[in-house]
Amino acid sequence: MVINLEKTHLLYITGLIIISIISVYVLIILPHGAPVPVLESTFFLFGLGFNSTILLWTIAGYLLLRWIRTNRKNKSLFIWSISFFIYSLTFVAHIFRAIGFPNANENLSVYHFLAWRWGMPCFSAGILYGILIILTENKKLQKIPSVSLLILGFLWLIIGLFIIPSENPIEVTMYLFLHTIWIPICFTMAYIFAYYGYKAKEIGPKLVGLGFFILMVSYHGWAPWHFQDVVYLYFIWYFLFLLSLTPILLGFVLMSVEERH
Amino acid sequence: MQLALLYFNTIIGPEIYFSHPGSVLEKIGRKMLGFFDLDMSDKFFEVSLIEEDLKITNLYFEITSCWARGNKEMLMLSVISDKNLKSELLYDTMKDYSIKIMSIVNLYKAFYTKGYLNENDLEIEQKTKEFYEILLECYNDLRERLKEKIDDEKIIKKFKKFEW
Repeated sequence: MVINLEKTHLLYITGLIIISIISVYVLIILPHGAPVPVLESTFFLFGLGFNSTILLWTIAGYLLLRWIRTNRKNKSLFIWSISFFIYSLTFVAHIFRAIGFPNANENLSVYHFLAWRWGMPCFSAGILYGILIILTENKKLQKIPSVSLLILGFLWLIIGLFIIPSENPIEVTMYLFLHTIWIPICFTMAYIFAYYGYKAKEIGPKLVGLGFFILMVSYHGWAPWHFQDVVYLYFIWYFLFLLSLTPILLGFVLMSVEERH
Repeated sequence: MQLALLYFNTIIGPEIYFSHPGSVLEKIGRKMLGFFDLDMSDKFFEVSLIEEDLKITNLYFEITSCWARGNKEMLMLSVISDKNLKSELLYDTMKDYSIKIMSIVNLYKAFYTKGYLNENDLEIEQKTKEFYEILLECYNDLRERLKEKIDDEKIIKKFKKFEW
């Protein structure tokens, strides 16, 4: 009996031994962690970027896994997976910017901004295309709005960054893009998922809807709080954005669980 | 969608008492009258008419009657609809109206308009009018609730056609 238990819980016992060794070391030596000077003033950006990236990759990975597990029939899962993955590039840039890579700073020039933000119009068009595949079987109705949105998104980036004369072209671009494409698309997703969840009496879609709603709200905070003197409040909105990804992930997971039951 | 109320006439057997909108097609009506002869334990049942692409959803119930044999009138509320309609969607409304009908005092008199018995009873006309109003209300209510439920089903079907 005892021998069996030892065999079954070998991993637990090994874990306990390792933890004990570390604890003894910490309690005796009282180690002082090595500094990472580059993170002294950017640790919050690093943390936010890192967590966002992990969550976005988890959502993308989960959607991809579900797409494979469901015999690759639900194209929306695949498109959303790719969309979330592309969207994560912006946050990967935040991690590298925080650890001192100057080229990862999207605000360095309009070219840097374009290089790190092109994923946002792709994400908008991708999530719209995914939901349109569900809502209509008409191929034209699926593709025309999505492609138009993609073109419009890139048009805003090009017009805002390179054509409209402004002292701060990045600011102009963000104003245009967020308030004409991003926020309405997030609200559309929030509404459709919440509506479906309400009608189907399921929690999963409601959570996805809630996530997209919070995501929309967090981007509403960008315009008034992106100015240098109040930029610390922009990071609060960034925290809210990070929070919005949790119900999206949880909602998608629950959707598959609720379907099975 | 068409609503019909059938009852068991003591003299001539099963009869369609009410239908709205319009009359029930004779061919379908004949089949419906046959349902009264079926000995079914379930009071709520559906019958699919494959050739006609129709479904008939039925709720059988009884009301007390001083003039009928056995002191009860046998009624059946029937909904004629498209064959794809889920009959469960109709159940709550049909049940509610059957309870409503059962609760009306002396409603059985509405079945005696043709002068079989007691043709001078003043309540016959009043109960007939009251009954028709309830049945029309039932039809309108069914149509409204069905429209709502069909709208609900639309979005659910769109999401459920895929696996998640």
